[in-house]
Amino acid sequence: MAPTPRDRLAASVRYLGPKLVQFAFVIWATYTVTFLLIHFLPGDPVLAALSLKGGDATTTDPAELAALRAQYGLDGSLWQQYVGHFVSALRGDLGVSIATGQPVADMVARALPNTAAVAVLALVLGVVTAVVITFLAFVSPWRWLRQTLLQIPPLGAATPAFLSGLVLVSVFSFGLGWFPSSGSRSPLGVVLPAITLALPVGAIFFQVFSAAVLDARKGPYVFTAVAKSLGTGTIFLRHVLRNSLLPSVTILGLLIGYLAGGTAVVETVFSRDGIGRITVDAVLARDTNVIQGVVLVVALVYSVVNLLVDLSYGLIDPRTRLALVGRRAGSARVAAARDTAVVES
Amino acid sequence: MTRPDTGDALLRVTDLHIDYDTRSGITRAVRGVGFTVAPGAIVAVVGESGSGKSTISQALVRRLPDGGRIVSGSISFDGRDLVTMPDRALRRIRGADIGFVPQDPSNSLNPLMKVGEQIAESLRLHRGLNRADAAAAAVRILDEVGIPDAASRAGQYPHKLSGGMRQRVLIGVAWSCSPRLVIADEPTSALDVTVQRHVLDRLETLARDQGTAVILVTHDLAIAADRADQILVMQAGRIVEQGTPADVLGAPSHPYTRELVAAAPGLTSGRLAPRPASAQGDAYAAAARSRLTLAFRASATATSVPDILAVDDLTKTYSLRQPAGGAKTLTAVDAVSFAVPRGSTFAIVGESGSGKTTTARIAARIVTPDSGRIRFDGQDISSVAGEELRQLRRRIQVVYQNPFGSLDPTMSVERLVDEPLRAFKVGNRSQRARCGSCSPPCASTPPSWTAGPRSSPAGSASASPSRGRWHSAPSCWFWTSPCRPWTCRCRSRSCNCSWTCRWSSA
Repeated sequence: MAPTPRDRLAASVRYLGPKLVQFAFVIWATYTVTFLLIHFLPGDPVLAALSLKGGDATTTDPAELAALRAQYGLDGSLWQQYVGHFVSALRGDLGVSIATGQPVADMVARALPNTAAVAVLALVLGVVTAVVITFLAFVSPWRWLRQTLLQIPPLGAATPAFLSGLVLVSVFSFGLGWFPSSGSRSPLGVVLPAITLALPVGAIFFQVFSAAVLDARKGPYVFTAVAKSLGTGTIFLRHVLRNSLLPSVTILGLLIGYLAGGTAVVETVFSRDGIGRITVDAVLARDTNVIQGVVLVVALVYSVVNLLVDLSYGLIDPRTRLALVGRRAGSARVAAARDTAVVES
Repeated sequence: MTRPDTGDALLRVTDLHIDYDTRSGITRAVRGVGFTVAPGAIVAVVGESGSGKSTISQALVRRLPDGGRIVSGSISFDGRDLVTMPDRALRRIRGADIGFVPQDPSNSLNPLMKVGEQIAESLRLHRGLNRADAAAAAVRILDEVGIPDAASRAGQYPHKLSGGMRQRVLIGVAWSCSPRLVIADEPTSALDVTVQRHVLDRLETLARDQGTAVILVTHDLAIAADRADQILVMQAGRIVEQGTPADVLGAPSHPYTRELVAAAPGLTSGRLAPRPASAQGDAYAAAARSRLTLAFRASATATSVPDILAVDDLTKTYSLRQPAGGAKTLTAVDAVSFAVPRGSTFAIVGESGSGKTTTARIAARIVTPDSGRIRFDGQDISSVAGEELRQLRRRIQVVYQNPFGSLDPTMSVERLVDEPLRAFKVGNRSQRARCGSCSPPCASTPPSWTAGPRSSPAGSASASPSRGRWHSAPSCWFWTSPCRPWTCRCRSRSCNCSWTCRWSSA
């Protein structure tokens, strides 16, 4: 029985609907929690900004203060601000930075590519290294070599980014002069920060991935493959890799979320512009509009990534794949449970 | 027919020793095994779990689990020694001339690869076929092993196939390159009895048609008797007896073989007889038992209700969620009624999916039925809840099917046994400790009370928690296929154990 286009559409909606609702909920909840946290912190951000400019003894005209508040969108009741900010955020307007006077959306748009370059490169380096080390451990005929290889990556997780960053800078910038030590002007400047970030990211990914691979190594389907005399490399690439990616993809989603917001240390060490830097500056200056905008953007990135991760399960694992993609509607599980005898005979 | 020491043997194993290096020292799994397999012969290797029969089958493809190694001896296949052969040469033989049918069909296929491709892979490697030819040959092989509608099944993933069909796919993988020897390691242990026969028939037909020699590793003496030309009986890493089925089963000479033959349910018609138990040598256990027995008799005579358990019109449906097409309803139990007389053994028989386990779980109040009534000891327990239900748990006990999954692997056997006693606050700490280790009603001696259940063999693993439950004085037991994954000898011991428990409390 082939599903009609109408069936396919209905099934897609049923599958995607809850995930999209979840997606919208995460964005809204993040906005609400950040909004409440910022507004229940003691002190007034506009007054703080003024006193930062003019020193503690600055006297402020109440009318001028009210005008400033209106300019930054911080006037009106709490409720009005909550709804007002949300509506303008939906239109892509994240307000104006109190500290710099620039639109927050522009600041984020300028910083995001820098952070994204570092984060993506770090992710690729981390994942590729983890897969390669796991592969070597998998094909290793000696137990001692396997154990040694498995002990390497936890080092990456244990080394703090400011230490590994400084070591990399002193060796590869000051010593060998291969890469610039700081700034985001040169395209090569992305390499050292990415390596620094790849260490913890790759190590965490490695822990999950290698555990899955070594588990599979002792498992029955690998035994079947060995009994067929497939080469060790073929077994890894054709059989083990995809099976072990299933648990690892989940951790990948979490790591991308961490990278989207967690680059602050690396960007500070390497003096690069980026989301992390903006966040640190905004928190120090009590620039509430920027904080709010950055948190929203990071939440958006994180939710999109997790939505993609959810969808990728279907690509990797036929058991979770939409039944409408296959030829037979998903009645097989029921059939297998009930009608074994009928099929058998 | 195979005779030892003939010149034309296909496989000749000589004085094979295999050790496992474990944390607690070296385990000698196989100690000096020798046998020959003639071309086209079916040789059954029989023995209980831990006798080394699976280790031999894995050694024949030179793939032992971590820590296992062949210490000495030779495995000569077609005149070449598999033990000393370089890897490259071995890989030309394994999969092409030697096929392997593994034990567990549910996990032995790659879940992310279409079944046709899993056969085609082997054909491309050993036969050098191109992609299209290999795919077509795979469909032919699937058809040959008895998979209906092979062309469309070849494009499906293993999870869409039933256990029996998956095992047939694995048989197809093993036979894909027309091997001269196939090693089948307990190929049907995980399957239903009805399916077992079909799979074995298929295996035997392929072997007879193609003249393939088969080494059939099994714990089921009845299967060995039925299918094999020659039987090897193994115990503790040694072959204790070998010969034709008629010789081995008709006139077993070794005491272990005699025990195996006596325990095999298919071969002997004798019923299990209740056996009086005693608690000699332990005053506490004897006193506890007599108290329990007296209390039970008193309650039995006080009530005039003849049935301990009566279920009436039980119905249970499950709604299966599907990614497409919404929910589908599966009626697991459909208007079931029965009554169990006090002090009797009541059997519910059926194949997997027939609803027998669900019925037992409903009657034990573990699963809630959609409708129907359960009366236990004269009381309607269909809707008891909270503390009342908890107290009921003490009187209704369940022995589960899978001794490996049902025990918490992080708890010692002793703690597992006295956990129910702790839950119901029976006795004080030292009494409970004694109870955990008191002279057991089962004839098994645990290797170590403080070790986890993983280190015990399956038979004693399932017996141990039963013991604690028995001490908390139940009046009704449920056994949900408790003996299925075990060897015959363990089965009969465990059933005797249940009989003893019943006898002493009734």
